[in-house]
Amino acid sequence: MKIAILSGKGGTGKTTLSVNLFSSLKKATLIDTDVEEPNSHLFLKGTTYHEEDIMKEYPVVDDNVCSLCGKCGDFCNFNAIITSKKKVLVFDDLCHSCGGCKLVCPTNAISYAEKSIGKIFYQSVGDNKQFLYGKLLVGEISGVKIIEHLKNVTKKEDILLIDSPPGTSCSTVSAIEGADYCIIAAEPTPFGLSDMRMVVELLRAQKMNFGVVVNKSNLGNDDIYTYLEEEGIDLLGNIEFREEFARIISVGELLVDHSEYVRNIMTDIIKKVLGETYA
Amino acid sequence: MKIGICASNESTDSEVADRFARAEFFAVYDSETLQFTFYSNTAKFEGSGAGGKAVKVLGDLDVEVVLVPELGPKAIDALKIFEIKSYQYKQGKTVREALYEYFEKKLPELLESSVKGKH
Amino acid sequence: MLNEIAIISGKGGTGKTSIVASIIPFLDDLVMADCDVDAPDLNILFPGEIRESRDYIGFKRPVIDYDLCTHCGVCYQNCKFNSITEDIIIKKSTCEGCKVCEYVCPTNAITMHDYVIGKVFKRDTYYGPMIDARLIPGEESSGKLVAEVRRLAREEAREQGKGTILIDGSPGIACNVISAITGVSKAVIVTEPSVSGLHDLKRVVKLVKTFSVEATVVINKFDLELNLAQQIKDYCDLEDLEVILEIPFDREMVLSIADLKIPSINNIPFFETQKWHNFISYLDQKESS
Repeated sequence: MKIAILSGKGGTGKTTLSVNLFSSLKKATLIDTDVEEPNSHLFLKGTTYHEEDIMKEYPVVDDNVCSLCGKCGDFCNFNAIITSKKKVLVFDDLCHSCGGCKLVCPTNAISYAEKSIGKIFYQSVGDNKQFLYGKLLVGEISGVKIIEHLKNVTKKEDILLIDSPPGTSCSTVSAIEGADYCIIAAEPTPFGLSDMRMVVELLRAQKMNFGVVVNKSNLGNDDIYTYLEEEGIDLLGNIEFREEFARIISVGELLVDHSEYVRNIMTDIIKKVLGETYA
Repeated sequence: MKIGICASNESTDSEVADRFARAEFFAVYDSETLQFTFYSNTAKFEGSGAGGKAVKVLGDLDVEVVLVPELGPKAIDALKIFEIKSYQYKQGKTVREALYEYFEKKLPELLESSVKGKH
Repeated sequence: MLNEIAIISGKGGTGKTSIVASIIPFLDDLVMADCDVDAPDLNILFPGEIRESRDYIGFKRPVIDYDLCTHCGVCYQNCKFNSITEDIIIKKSTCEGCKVCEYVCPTNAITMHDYVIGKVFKRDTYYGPMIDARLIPGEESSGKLVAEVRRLAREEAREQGKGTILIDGSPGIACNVISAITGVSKAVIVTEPSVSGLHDLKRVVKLVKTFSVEATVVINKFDLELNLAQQIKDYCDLEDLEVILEIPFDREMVLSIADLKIPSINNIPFFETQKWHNFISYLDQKESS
């Protein structure tokens, strides 16, 4: 079963939920697909046993063969190729690797070179547990390719937890694609509720099964519970804000290692989402 | 020759733009006809790569010199392939004033990407 | 010259939007730009008349005329984004609008059509005009929408004679954040004293330096973990970055937002300190030509 953990608003506890659920399972794989700002590895403290570069292609122009017709630049939708009457300039960081420039070139002057846009790290974190995370190179415009790769290498896993990026744009869609169930980490505040509505819209459009965990449940108001009831959305659990929890998380430790209250909540969530046998 | 000037509006009395790639308009002055023509800078709508695209807009208009507030690295690279020279004006001038200052040789040539100073 | 200030965070949940909200009542001459297009929250705290709203066309997507389509599969073979199935159906969630399919189709069965990816709003709030936008959940091109919000904010500032634009950026470091910070006068990075906060701060600092933007750092909830707060200060020192403000954790700030009240004008003592006022003065500084 593939379970994605996501949120509309950032900082509502996706990673906290992901790593603590992961620790509470006997056997599971966790992938951190927030490749812009991955944090799970800070809590799991595994050792990297394998690293992979994720490559993208970008065009290289053979000036000897190039007729300076400008068709490649005209075609490129991403401003990655600028042509003058004297030269062709390629901005590889803007290239989306669509292959169009090569197709339109009348003199076959374009070939593709590769560059790394980031990495995937494979970490050992204990028996029966697998953990991978991705990291986008700073300055690159999109991590979707890395997310797709993470999903691809773990597609045969029995129980897969997907720590997803915040928000609802293309990275998040890529992370949750193919998931059997989604857990929304939400906050009971006006911002939290507003952002959660957008996630609900996304999940409904993608026809996903989902439930909600309310984090920092004592710092806010009841509007979120009213909304969940009205919309018939499953409430999987509530986690209170306590300053001691904030401190534990601050130093990169797992709540389940310190709090029976949190352990019980994780067990509850696992029972509800995966079934009794996995708890 | 044609000189491009980054403008905030379609008039020679309007203030010069404070960004190159995101300028609203380019004023192009033709030193032979002594006329100004204004073009909307289509690069301003781009998410990324606006610098390169803005240069393309000007290059295709056969501009040889451009008067700018600043330039990012992509714009600098693109200006080189068009062999367009760039000169930096100070904010707050009108399009016409910036042009006069260029002719009076008061504007420094911009050869590298201008980096904003640290606090 | 316009004073454009971007408030960003790298990590979500550091209190960025709450801080943006707290800054607003203290700046005159202001246009607000909510560039967190995945999760636009500012208008919740600063409601106002919507003066204008319009659909935003992000890019073009292919439409197939099945009367002309011969199911030859050339489009499917050439699509690098897995956006056309073998049965020649467009999968819009991964389409990037590159137009390769339109180009390769031998029967001209594919044409590119404008695609609405979100909505842009111009509002008049108590503290000034606000430009914000909502990306349709699941959509691409958030960077382009952010650029549009910035463009409209600059246009608004020019038309209304306003001198300052305050940008609420989104978490992360990719295209939408890049669009929020290019060419700004100053960036303020809001962080928190946690291992995640420090980790993410390092990446967003790298981004800000890549784009040559002047930046300072605010450590929010700094007293929740003093050791990590010190580690952050040490890091900033190493990177020649000023920690311009440290805000203590106060439940009242969270509860204030939950009550839809702006923290800085809701009797919270921190906002009466000289430190806060110095921070505002820094933000207000206009660059001389």
